[in-house]
Amino acid sequence: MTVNRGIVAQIAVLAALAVIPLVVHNDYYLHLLILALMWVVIGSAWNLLAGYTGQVSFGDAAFFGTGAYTAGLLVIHWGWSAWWGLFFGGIMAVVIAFPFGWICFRLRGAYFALATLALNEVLRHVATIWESFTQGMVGIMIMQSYISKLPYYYIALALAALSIIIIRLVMRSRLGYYFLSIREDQDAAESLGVNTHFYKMLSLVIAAWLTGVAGALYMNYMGFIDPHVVFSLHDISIMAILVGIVGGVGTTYGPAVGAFIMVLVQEMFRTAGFGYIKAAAKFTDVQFLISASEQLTKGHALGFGILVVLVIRYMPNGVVGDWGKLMIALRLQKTGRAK
Amino acid sequence: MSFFRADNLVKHFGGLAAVNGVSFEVNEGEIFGLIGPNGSGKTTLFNLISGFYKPTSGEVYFMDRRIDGLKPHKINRLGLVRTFQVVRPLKRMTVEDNVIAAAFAQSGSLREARRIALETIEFCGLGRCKDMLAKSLTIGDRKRLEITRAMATGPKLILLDETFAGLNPSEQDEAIGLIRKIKASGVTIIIVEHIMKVIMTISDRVHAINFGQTLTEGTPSQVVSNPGVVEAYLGEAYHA
Ligand SMILES: Nc1ncnc2c1ncn2[C@@H]1O[C@H](COP(=O)(O)OP(=O)(O)OP(=O)(O)O)[C@@H](O)[C@H]1O
Ligand SMILES: [Mg+2]
Repeated sequence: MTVNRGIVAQIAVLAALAVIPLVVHNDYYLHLLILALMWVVIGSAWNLLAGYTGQVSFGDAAFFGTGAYTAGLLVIHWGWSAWWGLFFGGIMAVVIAFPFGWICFRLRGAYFALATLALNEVLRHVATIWESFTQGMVGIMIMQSYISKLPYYYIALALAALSIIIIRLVMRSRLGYYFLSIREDQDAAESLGVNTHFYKMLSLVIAAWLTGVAGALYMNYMGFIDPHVVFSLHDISIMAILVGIVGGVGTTYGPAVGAFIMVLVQEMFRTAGFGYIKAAAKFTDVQFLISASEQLTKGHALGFGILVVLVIRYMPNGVVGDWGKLMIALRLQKTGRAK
Repeated sequence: MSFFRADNLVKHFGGLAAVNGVSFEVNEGEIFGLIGPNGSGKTTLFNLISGFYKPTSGEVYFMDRRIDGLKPHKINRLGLVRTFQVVRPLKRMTVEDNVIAAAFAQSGSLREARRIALETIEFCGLGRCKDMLAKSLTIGDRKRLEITRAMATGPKLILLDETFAGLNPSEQDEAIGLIRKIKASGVTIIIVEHIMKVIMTISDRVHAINFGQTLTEGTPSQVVSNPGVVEAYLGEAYHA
């Protein structure tokens, strides 16, 4: 019964997402949706490694940026289509992840997280300094294949669906059970016959691959990347963590929900309340609103930090994990108001 | 050739020789008791046998294969499994999922692993809490889960480290029953235990150590009447 209902709900959501661009012709909304779908991929990947396998990554941008640069470099050096990046970008992310994991999975807990952070920083510097190959700070600009947003939207939707399907299949197999047991207790897992090093590598490789593919999609869609955009610590690596924890760590659909929420939040910061604050400031000419709108845009990294703290404090299991709690809280508020 | 053999095992931690030249053999199908006072090196021996520590010197043989220095998961796949003295449940997983994870050692398919897990859960008497999260179990049930999980990997030899500590008398009796059942199912057992009543009732042979060295080995009644053992291990209790 519940399984059937679950499948029906999934198909309904997927169908709704497939129909949206036929109904919504607003490019701006489509743009936000494409980003959200891309973040579903990245968030699901982060969640597989951190949420299910217990190996927290602070440096997802390393894989995202590698995928994006692979797509871009294929164009500027070899004249290939950037779409090949979807294939080779994922592979290159794995090529980076493999030796990294091989060495760094000997570190446990916080040390592994710090190593991913270091990888992120190292790769950003490489992309910045190695000008003859990467064009350094100038970045890479390519011609986008389509003017319309529709093709990008459907590719992003397909990748998002693919990543959720992969996560579901993995978590219902030996792999998933082994990932969870590694998260819960590595020594116990070893004693039960789990090759913990191998399965941690596998989790990392799947996560890096998905994240690299998302990076390649970003290159194709945006047409421009530079080291500070795709290897960004706060806009990519921290954002990936936020997508994971806001939605719900260790839940299948948490990252999907988190992606939509966080893209909205990010956009809210970027545009200072979707431009409403600015408009209000112009309209009323109140000095406070003008500076508030500026500060909001400048302070989005700080805002992300505060958000992390709030979520961990009040909804440690995220929107999906703490759904029951959230509903109760909202209902309580209503009855409170009624009094 | 012997079923299991530890040969002159030595393990140093810095200047401390936690295990210092211990040798013993275990026959297929028996319950082999390992006793010794606190800190005498019993758990360290288990860690050496199960691959968690590499011996400073000495060798371990299991079914004609040298296993010292192998990784724990490899040793598990050969059919040798250990439990932990301080239990290590996979806390945020249900009892059933804990055991399924272990049963994947026997089969790659979830359906088959679940079948083995449910069978083992019934066998070990954990059926009433199979849907509970492991972290919410009582200490008695946690110990039982530790054994259930180990059994689900399909072992030929199981190492039980103080399975009875913290159990009340009626739980102890149940645990004795379970260990007898495990033996009857054809699995060989090495058991570390402080409670003499338990060791005396279930062991076929007992090996006593102190300060990482062998005191004596023999039938339970031989071992408890050995003066060295009486002094080292039972001394306090007997003098009191
Ligand atoms: N990892 C380690 N590092 C350093 N010393 C250790 C380590 N493990 C054990 N020891 C020491 O080795 C000695 C033997 O410890 P072990 O845990 O094997 O004893 P035990 O016989 O299992 O004791 P108990 O009955 O209390 O469980 C002790 O002195 C202990 O402090
Ligand atoms: Mg011990």
